[in-house]
Amino acid sequence: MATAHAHGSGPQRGAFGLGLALALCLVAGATLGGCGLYRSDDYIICQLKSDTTSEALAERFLQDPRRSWVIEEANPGAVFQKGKTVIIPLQDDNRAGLFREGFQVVPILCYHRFAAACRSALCVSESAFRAQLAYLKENGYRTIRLEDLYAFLSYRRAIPLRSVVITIDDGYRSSYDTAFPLLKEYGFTATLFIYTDFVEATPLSISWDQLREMKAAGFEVASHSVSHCDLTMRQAGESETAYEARIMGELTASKAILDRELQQDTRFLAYPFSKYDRWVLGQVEAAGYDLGLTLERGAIPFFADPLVLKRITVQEEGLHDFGRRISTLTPVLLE
Amino acid sequence: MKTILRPLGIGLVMVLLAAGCAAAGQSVGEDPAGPAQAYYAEGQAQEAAGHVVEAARMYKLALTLTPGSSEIVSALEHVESRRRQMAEERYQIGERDYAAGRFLESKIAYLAALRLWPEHAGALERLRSREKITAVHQTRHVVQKGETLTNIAEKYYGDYKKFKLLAAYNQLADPTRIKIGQLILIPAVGAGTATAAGGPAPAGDDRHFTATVEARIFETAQIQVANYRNDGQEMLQAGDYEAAIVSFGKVLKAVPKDTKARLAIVRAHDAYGRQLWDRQEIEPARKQFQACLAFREGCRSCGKAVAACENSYKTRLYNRGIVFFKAGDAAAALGEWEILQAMDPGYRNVQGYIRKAKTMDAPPAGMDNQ
Repeated sequence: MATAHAHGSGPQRGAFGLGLALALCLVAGATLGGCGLYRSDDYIICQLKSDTTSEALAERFLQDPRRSWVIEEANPGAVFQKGKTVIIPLQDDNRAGLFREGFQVVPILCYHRFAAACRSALCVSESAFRAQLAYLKENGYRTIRLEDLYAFLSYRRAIPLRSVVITIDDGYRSSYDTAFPLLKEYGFTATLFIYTDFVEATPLSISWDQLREMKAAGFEVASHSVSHCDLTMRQAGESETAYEARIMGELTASKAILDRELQQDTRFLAYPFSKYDRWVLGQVEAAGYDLGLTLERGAIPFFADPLVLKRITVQEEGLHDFGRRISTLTPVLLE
Repeated sequence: MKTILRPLGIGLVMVLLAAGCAAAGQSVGEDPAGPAQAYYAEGQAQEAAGHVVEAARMYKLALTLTPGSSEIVSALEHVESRRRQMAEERYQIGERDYAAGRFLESKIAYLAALRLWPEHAGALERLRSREKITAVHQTRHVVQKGETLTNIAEKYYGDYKKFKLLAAYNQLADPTRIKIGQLILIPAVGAGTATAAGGPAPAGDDRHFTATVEARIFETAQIQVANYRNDGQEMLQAGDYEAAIVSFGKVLKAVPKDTKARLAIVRAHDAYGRQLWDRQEIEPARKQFQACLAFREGCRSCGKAVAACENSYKTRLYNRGIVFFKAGDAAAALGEWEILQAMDPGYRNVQGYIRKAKTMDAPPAGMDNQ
């Protein structure tokens, strides 16, 4: 640095020179391994030869920039600057999120509608939603997809310590008009549960094109049945056989429509009205769903029943209350 | 000046490149032994404090830097075997707690076991099966006239003695008293499921679909329905009929006989229909009127509201017919009046108008436009 200022025509020239030197150094370094490198089956330890980001390190060493959190959590408070030593874990050695001081739980937030101003419990105003997302961002939360949650519940893969899932039920157009731009702004994703009868059915409904656009942006779209009916309820005068066929239709047809429209394998379902019984759970499993979401209150530990996942209904509430309800660690001494 | 600066700048870059890369090369890289020792010492301190998981991590970090250190290799082996042993101890404590009905304590013990040894299959299995609602694969049987629980057991299992399983599974207080039309759930009897499903549910174990679980589901659903009902009410007041209809529609999906929701949705369809019609969105408006007229059947409490809606529609059909007729479009006028006639043959002068429309090209004299 001192050399740069002594020989250059001023700080600007010096900064330019330094920047270019670092860039060239990075190129040279990349071919040599990117950093002073030590590797075992468990870890990579390296000393950074240039400034970088956790995303770049994750892309290079974990083959997935989205796993930057692995590196951030292994190096708490680190800035990834030249000369710093960085630990890169190669093993998922805490797939259940178990710590001496407690076990990890994932809050799954549930929203329905958004509007400029709201008076109903189903609706959250744009400004309140923005404040909640800002709170999540400032407090280090990361949104994960239900696909990631499923891997966590299957004891296959760890998830970020401050994981949260955002779900939006019913397929209102405001999911696209209001929530989507805000979520993107904060770098978050969400999972939409839609009942297929409602898509494009009214001016309040979301459209298939909007759903496709959200999916392309990394959002998930999952089933909320065909007609948003109570899956446990026989209609007046309906025979047992007719009821069973109708419910199986609610589960399989909604999946088939979503699969076709969005070119995906739909594996998540939210029970309309949070209603289910043992028979419904069996049908849900038989129809090819891996996760079933209710609206019973609570957060998800890795050992939760995947077909009966609890959620946290979010309303317009004080951020203090909001924060209190979305804890990601259940404290208990695990020694 | 500029011409001098440029080569100077390039030279500077080269100098920096050499210096910068050389500096970066002087890393843990050159002498890993120091940092490795630091990890090792930290590991030993953790181990001394009984923190075996953290100790193992430190030893692994040390070995990443100096893989050849036999001292650290054996320290790691030692702490790993301690981890396994401690995990097994926690697991056994969990088993004892579970057998004694101390479910919460057993869960904590299993979690501790798994934290100590992430591959402890027993602890993992216990934790993951504990919370599951089991025996989801089942058949539903509606009791027919003359059937007993033993008949039903014989029918599904070929073994009448399995009536005990059915009684326990369906939480029947008295297996001899079942009613025609009663729903009996028949669990699939496969590897282990029969006993798992049929045995009495230990108190506090959520695996079984206990009355508590059912009450919780019911209560949660009640809240959802109440939310949709309130939302519908708010939307109706705000004049957002479309949104009100969507929300009340959901209430009726859950509680088809909800009289307040029926009444509200009929009014919303009526108001929305009128609004659309007045905006000349005739076909969508018709759908709204048809939707509220569908409540004519089986909704005693919405009689007045349905009548009001019917009247809204009839008035509009009548007047629209007149407008068409006056404009010389007898066929279009007939279209409206015939719908009206089918609904209410005696409505005002609709019969007379239809006759005139069928025979005349011009509007009848003295026709009043309402």
